[in-house]
This record gives sequence, C-alpha cells and structure tokens, in this order.
Amino acid sequence: MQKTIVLPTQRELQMQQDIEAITANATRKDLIQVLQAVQEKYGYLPQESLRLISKNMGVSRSEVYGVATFYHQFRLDPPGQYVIQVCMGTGCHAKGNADNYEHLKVLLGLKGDQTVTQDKVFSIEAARCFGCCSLAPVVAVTDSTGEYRRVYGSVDQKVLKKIIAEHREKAQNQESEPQRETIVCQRK
Amino acid sequence: MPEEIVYGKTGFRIRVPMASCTIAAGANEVLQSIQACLESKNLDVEIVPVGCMGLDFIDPWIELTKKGYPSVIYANVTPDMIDQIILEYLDRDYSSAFAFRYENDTDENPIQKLDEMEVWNNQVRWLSGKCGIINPDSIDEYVTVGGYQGLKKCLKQDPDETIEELKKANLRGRGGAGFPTYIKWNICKQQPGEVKYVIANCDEGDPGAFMNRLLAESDPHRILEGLIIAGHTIGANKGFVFVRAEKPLAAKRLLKAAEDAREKGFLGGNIMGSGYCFDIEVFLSAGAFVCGEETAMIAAIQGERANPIQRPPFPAVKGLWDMPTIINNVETLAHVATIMTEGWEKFAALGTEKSKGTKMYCVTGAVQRTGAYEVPVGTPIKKLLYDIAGGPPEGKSIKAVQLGGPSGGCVPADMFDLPMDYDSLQSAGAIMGSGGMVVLDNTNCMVDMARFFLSFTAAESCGKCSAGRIGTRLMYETLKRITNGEGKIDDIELLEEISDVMQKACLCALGRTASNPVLTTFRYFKQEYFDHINNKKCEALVCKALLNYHVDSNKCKGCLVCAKSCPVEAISGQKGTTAKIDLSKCIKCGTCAEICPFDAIQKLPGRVPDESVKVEEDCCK
Repeated sequence: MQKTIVLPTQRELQMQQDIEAITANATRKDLIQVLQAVQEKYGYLPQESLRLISKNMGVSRSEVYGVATFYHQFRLDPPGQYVIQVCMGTGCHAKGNADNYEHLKVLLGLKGDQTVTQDKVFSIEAARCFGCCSLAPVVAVTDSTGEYRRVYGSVDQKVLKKIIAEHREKAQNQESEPQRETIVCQRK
Repeated sequence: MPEEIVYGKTGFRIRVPMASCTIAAGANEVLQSIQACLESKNLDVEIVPVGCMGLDFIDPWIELTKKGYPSVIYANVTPDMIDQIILEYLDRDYSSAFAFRYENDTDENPIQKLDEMEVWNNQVRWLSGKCGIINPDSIDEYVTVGGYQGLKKCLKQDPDETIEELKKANLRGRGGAGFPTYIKWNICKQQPGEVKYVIANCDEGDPGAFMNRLLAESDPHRILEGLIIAGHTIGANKGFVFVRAEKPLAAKRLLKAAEDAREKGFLGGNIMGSGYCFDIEVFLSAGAFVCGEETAMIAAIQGERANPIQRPPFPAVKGLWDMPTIINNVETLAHVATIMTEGWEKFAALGTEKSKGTKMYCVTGAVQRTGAYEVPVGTPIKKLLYDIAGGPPEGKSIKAVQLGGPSGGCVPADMFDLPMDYDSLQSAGAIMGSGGMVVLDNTNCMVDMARFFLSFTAAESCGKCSAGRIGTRLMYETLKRITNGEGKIDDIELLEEISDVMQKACLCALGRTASNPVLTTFRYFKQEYFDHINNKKCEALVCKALLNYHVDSNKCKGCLVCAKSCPVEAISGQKGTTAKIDLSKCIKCGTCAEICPFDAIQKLPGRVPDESVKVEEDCCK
C-alpha cells in the first residue's frame, strides 16, 4: 500500500517556529496574551495557529477556540490591509455613525454580511467606544497588525471618501514604511 | 502650584496635551509645528507633553508660560497658528488667546481667567486638578506636586487607621454601584491567608464614558498610588491594572508609570524603606463589556472566557485564583490617593449627606462644550448641562440625557433639577454608572436609543445564563420590530414582562440592568412607542423604515447632482425638471439630501405601503 506524506510548506514551518517562540514559558493564565501576540504577528488568528497554541500549551483546542471567539479583539478571518473601525458607542450613535457604517458599505461595495473588500485592501468593523466621544462620530483606521493607527473625528460622507482614497493610494505605494501612531484631525 | 512645575528649568514652558482625544484632534501636528518654530527662532523653550484637562471643546489647546508673563491657554490651535501665537505672546498681546490659567496671572493686557469661566468655576477639580498641568510620563513632577505623600503616610500607620480614614471620608465606589470602599477593604483585610490581590479596574467599557482613560493618560501615578495603598491596607503583595486594549495610550502611560515607580522605590521590594513589598502587572483586556462585572474580570485575568459566576462568595472573600481580591475602579483608587494626601476632612466637606466627594462626568452629544467635568456628588443635572457644558447648540433643544451607559437610563429634560447622587438617580430609574452622559436632542429617537442599547447588551451578553442570553436577544428583536414599523401593541407588555424576568433571574448586573434603557424610555417617553406602533411614525426622523425622502419641486432646480450621487440609481429625471426618487429602489442612505446644493431633498415621516426597509445592525460577532 502506498503512503503519502504531506510535507509542511515553508509558511507552516515558519508558523510553527513563531508560535513555539510565543508559547515558550507560557502557562494557562497567559492564554489571552499568547493570542494577542499571535494576532499582532499575523493580523488574525489562523486556524493552524490555534491548533499549535493548544498543542504547545497543553490546553484543549475547544478552550483556545472558546477564548478566541469570546473577545472582540480577536479575528479568525484575515482582515483587509487596512481595517476601518466605525465606533458604535452611544455618543457616536447619537450623532449618526450607524449611517456612516451603511455609507461605508456602499462606498466600498460591500453587500450583506461581507466585511472585506474584493481587492482585500479594506475591511470594516463595528467597534466599541474609543473614548474620543467629544469628536463624535469617530472612525479609526488601523493596519491589520495595529502598528498604524489614525483616528478621524466629525466623520461624514466627505471624510469617508477621503479616508478611502487616502488609504487606497497608500496601499498602492506599499514600499513606504508604515508610520507609528499618526493621528489626524478633521474639525468642523 | 510649585514654580518648577509652572516654569520648568528654562523658565519658559509650552504645554501640549498628548491624550487620545487631543491627538485625534491634531495635537501631534501642533507639536511638530512648535518644534520647527522654536528651532527656526532659536528659542530655549521646554516643550512639555501633558494630559487632557477635560475641556474637549478647545482641543487641541496649548499653554505658554514664561517667567514674568502670565500662563496663557490658546484654544483650537492648528499648526499654522504657532508662529503667530509665540510672537504675540512674547509681545504681550493676548487677543487670540482663550484664557489666563491662574488666578494671580495679571498683565497690562488682561483677558478672561479660567476661574472666571462658567465651565471652570462650577467645577471642583479635587481629583483632576493636576491633569493637563503635569507631565504624565514624569514621576518627578508627580512627586513635586505632592505625589506619593499619601502612600508614605499609609505605610507608617496601621492598615486599620487607613480604613478608619476612608470610613470617615465615606468614599463610595466610583464604578457605578456606589458600594462603600472601606467595607470592601475591611472584609478583604479580615480574610485569613497570606496571598491576596488587588485589581484596578480601568476597563471602562461604557460607551460614552472616558474619565478613566483621561485619568490614566493624564495622571497615571495617582492611580498607582491608590493601588499600592489598597495593597498595603488589605495585605496584598500583587496588583493588576486591567486596561482595555482599545485604549492603548492609557496602557502605555500606566506601564511607563509602573516602571518609573519601580525605579524610584515606590513599587517592588521594601517600598520606601517600610519593608512592605508590592508589585503590579498591567493586563491588556481583549475587550468584552461583561468584564466590568467583578467575577468576569477575574476570569479574564485567569486567561479564561469572561463568564461571571454566582456571588456570594464575593471576590473580597474568594476571588482571583480563589484568593481574597478587591477590585476598585481607577477613579476610586485615585480618590484614595488624594484623600490620603489631602486629608479626609476636605473630601467629606464636598458632596451630599450620604455620598461625599466629587465625581467626574463625561458630557457628550448635543451640548456646546463637550468634555469631562468634575463636580461634587449631588450637583443637579441642570448645572452640569447648562452652566458647565453650555446647553444645547443653537437651534436645538435638549430632550433627555442618557446616564450610566447601557445599564443606565434616560432622564427627560423636565427632571433636570434632579441632584446627581447614587440614590436620587436610582429613584429616577437611571444609575450614576461610571459617569457617562450622552445628551440627546430632538433629532434622537428614544425607541431607537433603546434598540441601540439592547443591540449592545445582546452582543455583549456572555451567554452563560439563559435569562441574560435569551432575554437581551428577545428584547432587541422586539425593539427592532417596533423601529421597523412592524410593532404590535402587545409588544409593550412583552417588553415589560421580559424586563421583569431579567431583573429577577439574571446572573450578573449586565443582565439585571439591561432593561433599564427600555424601562426609563417607557416611563418618560411612552408616546414615542405608541407613535411607532400605532401611527407608524418616528417624530425624530431616525427610524429608516418610517421615513421617506422627498424632492421639493419648488426648490429643485433639476441639476441632477443627486442622481449622480445616488449609490443605487434610484433618482431619475431630466436636466431642468424636478428629480424623482424611486422609493422602491431607495435605500434611504441620505446621500442625496446631504449633497443637494438647494436643500430640496427632505426627510418626511411616513412609510410607503407594501414596502419596508429593514435596518440591520449586526454588532454581534
């Protein structure tokens, strides 16, 4: 009988090493920090990483999955290059951010439950309060690892269009290094 | 204020607020512009990054202080104004300034002082007095303004004396429920065993509240000092600060503060030579509103799903890893540090008979001056909204104020004489909560607000107890039906029944208070529910299924800008004639109304027969 052995790809080997490094010395109580570190690295939690975390830490897979799906911070699907987070706090809701969310979907051509654009440049998320309620309605743009972050205040359709154009351009000239924590203002 | 704080080493300081809110308003660009300007003019000036002083409506502001000159604050600064500001200041021309900072600031060209402004002199800045003045990243500045004196005093005295002082001060927890702090600490102190924990709750999940973030970003050492005092009093050697990941700057400042405190000997082994050992860990929460519940927060720190568990036993008896644990809001801990430094007498002189001291409130929404303000407990709502926050913007009127986030309620405008203390608010159906106040005007629909809060609690319910899981979902579905114009008159009874069950049967406070937004809007705005259900009408023109866009033929010039902007091509017409909206295609996004140069497109109440637009809002993961 013939046996087929599937060799791990380069990416899988790399992931094994990465997760090995992250989970070294980690105990059960560090599970959330481990997941945070993995998400920071990949921008989301790949299924394979969950398996590796569970194996390396000796925590059952269901438990890892349970924690990963409980908290808002964790994503199981790859996000777009830029994640547009629309604040859904009370202050922003009262000033019409739900409309902005709908507009954004229309502007990005997203239908139904879709959250990532076809070209994978943008994904959108309804976020919890950022604590910038005085600038409501607020939208934040981050890259998938959270290294880059910009907060926009007093958002309306014009600002949304500007945000999309600006970042689409940025995505095209990717060679430029990402800036850290640059935040921009839009005031009425 | 000590001179070295006011003027610094060079005798000329420029303060730039570097908090999340001011950075979002453009403080980074202002800072760069100041640096460039000073370099080109070759001035020896110290730029001090400070926190936020709560006056969010003047963000980003800067403050110039030079020896021999007054301290002057400039509001809504943009990078291109910097050159002008510095030149004018050195010329003693303050015409473009906002205010003088200190009472004794005088000059030949005087302008208004901060203390003469309603927004300032109606506040009692007991806790936030140093916010926006000292550099949050500098432990030396905190020590210079009297920091860690309270800790020094507590380390010398018996923990029972500390508890006695808190009892005299009658400090109640600022996280929302208002449980007396000394009782909690005393219970925990009396527990046997060596291992105990203290946790500072900086989770601040309430949308619309940001006072914890403000404190952590502007005066982080005050929080740490309170935490160390708590640890010493109950006999713990380990503490945690639980911070939300969505507020990364607050976490960064707290981490830096802890590092500095360790270096200076306020944390770690043998603190200030007293022999007491204590260290802290900053825990970055992965984000879940239910973590505001004590037992859920403990589960999160243990690395589990944040499911609350049955109380008693209370965490003060059996908490983190089954050890006695106290959890206090960071505002409470900052109060402890201030009380221990300034003395309980001053604290107890503020506030009402039953609740002493001050409380910070975040006022946002339909007011002229949004921001975080600190007032004595028991201040009437009116004073805060009108005197301090300046009332509604022109042409609008305040309809209600939403207090206490998703667990709180809406208080209508005719009850604004109500004093804000724990008991009065409870009797009105709202809660003090963490202190978020969202001001609603006549463009806000109360049924929609209730739906919004239930969408929040339904998404945030942990799913452990059936009453919470099914109850929030059922209420949300019902409210969604009503805002979609499909409500039945029985729905009101249904909502009341679910509320009753949830209040009795839910495991944690999230579920037990989830119905508050619905119950208070029932109590004060029942007519709006009837309008939605019986007349299919939304007065505030918020609920999309109950409104339509209409082109006013008198105003429309037929330019067809609207037709080009419509994302679903629902508008048709010929140049020069009135445009027509195909209501069966219209998704009511409002793009056309916003873009129309002649204001010809209006929202009108009412719905088209045989057609209903369902507004889906999916915050749930």
